[in-house]
Amino acid sequence: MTVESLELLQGTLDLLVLRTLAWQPMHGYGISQWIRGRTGDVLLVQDAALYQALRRLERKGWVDAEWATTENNRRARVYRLTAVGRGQLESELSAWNRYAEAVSRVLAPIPGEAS
Amino acid sequence: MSAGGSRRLRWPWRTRSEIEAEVDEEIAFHLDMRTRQLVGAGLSSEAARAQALREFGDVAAARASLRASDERGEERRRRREWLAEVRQDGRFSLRALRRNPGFALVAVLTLALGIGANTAIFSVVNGILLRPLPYRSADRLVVAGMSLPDYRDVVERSNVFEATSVWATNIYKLATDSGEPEQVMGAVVSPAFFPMLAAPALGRTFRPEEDRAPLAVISHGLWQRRFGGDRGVLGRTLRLSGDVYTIVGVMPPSFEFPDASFEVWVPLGSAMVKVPEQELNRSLRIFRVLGRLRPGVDMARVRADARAISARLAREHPDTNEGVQLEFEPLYDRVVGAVRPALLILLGAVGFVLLIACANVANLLLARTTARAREMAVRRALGAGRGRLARQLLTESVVLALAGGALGVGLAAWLLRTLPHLGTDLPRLAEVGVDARVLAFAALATLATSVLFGLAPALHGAGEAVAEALKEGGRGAVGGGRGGVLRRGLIVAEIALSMVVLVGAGLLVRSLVRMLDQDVGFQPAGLLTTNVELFHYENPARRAVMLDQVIRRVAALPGVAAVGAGTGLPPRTAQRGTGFLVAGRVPDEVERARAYFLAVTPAYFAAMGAPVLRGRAFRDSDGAGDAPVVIINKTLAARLFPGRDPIGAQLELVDPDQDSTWRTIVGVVPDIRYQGLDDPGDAAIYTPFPQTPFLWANLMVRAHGPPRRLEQALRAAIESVDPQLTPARIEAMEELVSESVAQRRFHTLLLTGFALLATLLAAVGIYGVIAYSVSQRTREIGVRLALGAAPRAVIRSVLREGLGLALAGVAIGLLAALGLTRMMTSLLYGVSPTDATTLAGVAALLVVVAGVASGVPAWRAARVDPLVALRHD
Repeated sequence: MTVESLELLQGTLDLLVLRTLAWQPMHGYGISQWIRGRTGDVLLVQDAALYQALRRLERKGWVDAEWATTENNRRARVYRLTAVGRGQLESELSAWNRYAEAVSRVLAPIPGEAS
Repeated sequence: MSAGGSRRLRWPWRTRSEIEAEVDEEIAFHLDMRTRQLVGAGLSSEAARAQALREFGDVAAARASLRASDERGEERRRRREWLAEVRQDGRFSLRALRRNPGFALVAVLTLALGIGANTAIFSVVNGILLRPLPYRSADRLVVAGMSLPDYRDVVERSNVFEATSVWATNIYKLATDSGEPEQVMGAVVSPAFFPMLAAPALGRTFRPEEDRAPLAVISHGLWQRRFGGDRGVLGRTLRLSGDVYTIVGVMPPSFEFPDASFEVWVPLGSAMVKVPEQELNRSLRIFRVLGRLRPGVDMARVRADARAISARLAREHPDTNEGVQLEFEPLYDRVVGAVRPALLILLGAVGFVLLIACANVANLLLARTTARAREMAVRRALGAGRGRLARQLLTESVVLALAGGALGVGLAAWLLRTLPHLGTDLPRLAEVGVDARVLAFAALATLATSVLFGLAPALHGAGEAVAEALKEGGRGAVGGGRGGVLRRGLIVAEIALSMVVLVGAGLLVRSLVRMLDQDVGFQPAGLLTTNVELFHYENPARRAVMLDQVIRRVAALPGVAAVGAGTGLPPRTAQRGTGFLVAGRVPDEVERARAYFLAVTPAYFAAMGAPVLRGRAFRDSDGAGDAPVVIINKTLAARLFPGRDPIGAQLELVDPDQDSTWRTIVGVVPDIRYQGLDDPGDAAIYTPFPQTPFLWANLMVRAHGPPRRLEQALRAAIESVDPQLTPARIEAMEELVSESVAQRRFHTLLLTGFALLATLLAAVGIYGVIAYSVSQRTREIGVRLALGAAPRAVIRSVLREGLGLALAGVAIGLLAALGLTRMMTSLLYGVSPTDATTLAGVAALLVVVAGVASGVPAWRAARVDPLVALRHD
């Protein structure tokens, strides 16, 4: 069953990845699954875009990558949040919350408004 | 997903295909996992794969983009790591140098001397030789000397010039509202002169219609000195030898035309109105012509053109132009030509000094390398690559070179500031300074030297042989072997280079001595001279009378031994030349030749200290109305009357200014070198001043004691005859003679300085190598002493080592010198470039120096206590 999947904005994707990695280090596939699972397939994450986002985060130093062996004895590139990345995550989270709150205040029904 | 570590061993940088492979692997992993999951959820493997691909997005684009960004990331990492390594190398180097401050100090100072001297000389070469002259189209400008009628013919008949102008020089007595009168060099110039050369810094130059106007353009130096740099100087006046001129312009400091001593320029016409006969005198060749060549015309064409015109003029005016060749040369050659060879020689010499300095520092580094052999070996064992080690050692060299270079540039700047004070009259000195090109040169020299002296020790230090040092007993192959050969080779090279520079300096010194020894034909010591201007007196007879009065007044002063006047001033110039005919002989080529022509007073030769050789000097009875007489010099007498007595023979001057009368030869005098110490000597004809009154004369005053003491009295005496005659400058002849060799003396001094520096550096080098060799053999020496060898034998063996190196160096240096000193020929006087005495002397000096430098360690070696030596490691 597919529902309307919403396209993600680039900045939001970065935030999601950071938050995901804050939970634990993962390889790219794992991150993709995780986000999909958590949003119940509502948010459409193009995997290609995900990997590009991961490279971006690597360049900025918020994320580190290393090759490791999985349980199935396959080599996978595992990403991990750095200390700097953790700080970045915190600041972006609070910014996101402020943003969401502001928007919802505008969208909220005004007492006496016809619905 | 555990991040269990299998960290791939890092060969520094991933290749492009490695990066590609990794990206592909990551994407493949993702697709495989998703496919597997979908298969687990029930899809067929193809459908699962298809969906996985769909979900991924554009795989090819992603692959490309990921590869690109990974490649960029790799590049960035590589650069960062390289920078970190360089910084680390730098830190290590500084630490290593700080541990050995003595070595670092010696090395840096040596390099500073070498680089500083080179930078200084290059600055001079750059400012004087390399920079184009500061005039419009300077490379198209040529100059020649000729008379005004000849000039007009050249302008009319020649088609190689785009523009021409003419000028002549004058000595003026300058007077301004404030300050004492002084003597200045000035030039009278035609209207095209300034437009052809340069624009004024202030005001303007002459307009064509102003050719006869009493206007003046002054130099920057004069502006500062007499007018305090006042910007309101335009419109003010100055007096030049009594005439008033209005200042209309000031030239920039870089304008040195005809040379740096000229400070005022006035229009040609304004000067010619006073001497109209000079405009028509075809044999008065005191004018100088400046020409700008048409595009596409080269010097060969100019010379051919000049030859053709000269030939035509000789045909049309045989009495004035027979045998006269108009010669144009490039302005650049005229300005710097004289000084070019010397400067280039100095540049070469100072380059040699730098090479010697590099060799010394290289030796120092080699010695340190062996001392650090163990450290290097340990680092090799711990995994540092040869390249890395070599690079780090090279960094030390670069750090040393940078320090030496920075210090050297400072040294050069200081040297350049003191250069003008050495009183040399180098052309374009104002343009010499540390500019961008000089700094670039210094940087290049620094880099080159660091590689030169650092590369060999770095490679040697990082080399395989060093690993031997880890063996028991320490030194093993390190002391001798390749390192030793390298060090000895460097010393031999140093000595050879020193030899070349010393020979060069020695030749110059001998030339200078020869030159100063020259018989100038008169006695400069005790002589005072000053210029007496007589053109105020319209009547020629009056000129002679006034001159005579001045002489009498001066002769009456206490302390004056003799006073005379003449129209020639050694060692600068004799001013006039003339043709002549001898009675009773058919005019042939020899007699058509020219001679200096001077008018002198009776006591002239006595005052000059040039005693009459035959016959008599002029007397008061040789006046204007009396029988015309002449005196000739030794060269002319020998040429015209070989082996016979010339007294009584008759001679006629062939000169448009003089009427043709036969004059009787009454005396013969020695040759006086009017054109400088290296004047080969030429024929000279003297007439009594009253019979040929010039517009001026040079007073020659011989003093009993030191000549300068008479200065005030002399000035007062002349002034008392006529205030208009007050001399602007009184000079001592000895100083003039000394000045005439000032430039030569300066070059000799400089080259000798460099030679001594080179020798000192070489001596230090020898000392270092021998001392090191002795320290290496301390144990061996101790054994020999203990076994009863005489200390003298030890000294002898050490000395032999040092002298062996020295002799090898001298031999090579000798060959090099024989080949290279050829280039100095134009600078030498009376000495051949392969002068045996100089070569032998220098060789002996170097051997002695090497002996002393080896002697100290030798003597120390002999005093080694055998017991201590045997325990020495």
